[in-house]
Amino acid sequence: MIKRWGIPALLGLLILTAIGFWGYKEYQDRIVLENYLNNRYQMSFYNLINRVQNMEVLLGKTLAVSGDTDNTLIFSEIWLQAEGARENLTQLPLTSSMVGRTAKFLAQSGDFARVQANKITSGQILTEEEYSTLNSLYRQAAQLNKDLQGMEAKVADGRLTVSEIVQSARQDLAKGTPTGAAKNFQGIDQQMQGFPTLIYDGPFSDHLDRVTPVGLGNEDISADEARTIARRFIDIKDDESYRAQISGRTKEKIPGYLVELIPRNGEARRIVGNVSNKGGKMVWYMDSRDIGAPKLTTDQAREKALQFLEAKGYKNVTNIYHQLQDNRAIFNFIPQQQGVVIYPDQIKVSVALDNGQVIGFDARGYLMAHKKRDIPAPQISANEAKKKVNKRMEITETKLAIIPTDGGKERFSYEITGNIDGETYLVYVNAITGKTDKVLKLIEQENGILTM
Amino acid sequence: MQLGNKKKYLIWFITAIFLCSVAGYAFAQNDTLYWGSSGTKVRAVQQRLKDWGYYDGPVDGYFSGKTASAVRKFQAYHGLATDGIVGPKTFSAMGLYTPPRKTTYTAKTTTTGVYVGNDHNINLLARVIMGEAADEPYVGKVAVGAVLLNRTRSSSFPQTLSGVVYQPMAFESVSNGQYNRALSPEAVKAARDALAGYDPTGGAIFFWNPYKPVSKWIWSRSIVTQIGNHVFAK
Repeated sequence: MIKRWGIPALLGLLILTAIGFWGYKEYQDRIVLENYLNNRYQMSFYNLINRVQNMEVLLGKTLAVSGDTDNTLIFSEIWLQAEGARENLTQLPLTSSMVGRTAKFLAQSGDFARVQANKITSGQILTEEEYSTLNSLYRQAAQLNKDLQGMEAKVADGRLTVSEIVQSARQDLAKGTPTGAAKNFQGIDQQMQGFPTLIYDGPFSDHLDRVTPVGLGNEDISADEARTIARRFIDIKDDESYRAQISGRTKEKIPGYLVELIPRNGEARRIVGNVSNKGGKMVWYMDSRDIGAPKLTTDQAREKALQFLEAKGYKNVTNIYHQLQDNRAIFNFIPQQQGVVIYPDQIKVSVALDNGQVIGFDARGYLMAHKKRDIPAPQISANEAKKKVNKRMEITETKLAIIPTDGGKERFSYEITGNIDGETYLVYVNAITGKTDKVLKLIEQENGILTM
Repeated sequence: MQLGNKKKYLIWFITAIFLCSVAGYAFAQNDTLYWGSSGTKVRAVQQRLKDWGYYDGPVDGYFSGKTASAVRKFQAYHGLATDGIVGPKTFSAMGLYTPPRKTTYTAKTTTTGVYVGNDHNINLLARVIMGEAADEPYVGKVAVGAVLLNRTRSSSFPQTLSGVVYQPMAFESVSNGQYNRALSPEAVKAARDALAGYDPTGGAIFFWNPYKPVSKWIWSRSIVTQIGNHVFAK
């Protein structure tokens, strides 16, 4: 009897041991990984505290200094600390509903400080208003610092672990109301609502959300008109076989109708685009068809793109940049006024290299910004501007341009193109003040030119 | 005899549970065949082993102990670790199959030796597009790519594309590893279009599938448009 039971029992025992061993190993691995992850999150959290603390001190210092060129460093340091803090905050396992406003506060403080640094290097004095903004940023940073220190105390006591935040955040996604540690962060985020609207010349300035298009007409168009406009505008070789359908409305900066062209023969191919409510302009469209082997050269494709733009009323435009990829060429065009190139008013056109069809079009930049500009006479001459670039640069071209700033404003500059050690650079020298506005590097690749 | 049968059943039952748990574990990992695996890949392995004289059992698509010992024999001959598990190395030694290599966008290096470019961003973007919008229409793919790029320009999100992609809790496909799937040419093309500046959403920074459960908070954002199965919002 014992003999007959012996083998199966032994086998069962072996299996159980194997499972147990395997389970224990898995468990150990999990603990190791969890600790590792927790430590990474703790590091982000402590780095965040450090940087916010540095920000508080630095913002305080700006109130004590006179704001002359010697203080540029303090302002640049704020930018550095703020960007680092934003990175640390966004690495914590929290959803953007919990940290979005705090991240915005950090981004804007840094951005604002950077713009001030720029201002004082060009010899401008900070205004009373800018001082009061700095003061309110300082107080806000102090509050944030205080809240974070409060959380740190809980973390140090072991009352709060970061992995707990991960767990609670996952539940919150389902429930919609955060609990535990995530709640602390959300509480901080809600306090950030009170901080003032900031308007300055930087990419995170609040006024940029309220920019409205200037290149559209005034009349409203109907959905039927939008369909006709799209059918007429979109470059389709066999337009007989398509029907246009309104598939939705868009409520972006250029509100409009989403129009879809659907082949009548039941093919899956779709051409989708947007027609503006006001003025009935084609804002963009994309045709996602497969493209066969290229038969056109880049120059022939550029010619097709120019013909297309001409036919649609976009005249007097120049190609500034192109890319070749997936058997298509993407061209960027900009208009000229009185010989001055207007960079903000860009139009993008993609041409299929198999048959020259325009398969992509985007005039959002143009429609947002295009108007007749008041171009002043340059205050400095081209030769004076050329003196601002490095002597080692071999200048190949100089022309006048209107360039956009980060804050959505425009500057009137000389664009000086030149080579150093076989590489091409573009230097923009302000035609009014003579200061260097921007330096770009041209990177020529087999598949196009990139500016950075 | 009766009793013996019962015991036999018991043993098989326990063994089956054990095998199931092992098999489940094996299937959780991609393309690794174990004792207990089954399917067409196992059949292919068995056929190959039989053709080469390592295996004399049935070609039935079921990874038995016999198959495992044949695999071990094969591995010993080919200088591989003799674990009886068919992983990527054993697969390719059998000439059956090479592990799926991710379609990467290969950088076209320039003559001047400049390593600056957008190639790494195309890859990263295409992977998230693949994970989040593989079944969406083309414009929907470009739109998802555009949302990621819009986030890098938004003050409420990280500043870099990698920061945006790897932000914890931001994208489900990144959290569960789905974004590591092999890329489709369409996803790469969409990523390039998004990087070239096409943005069908006009500046959206959120997108979600309205037919799936999402946090209530997200519905408080102002919706810009709907493309395919995704709602886009600011």
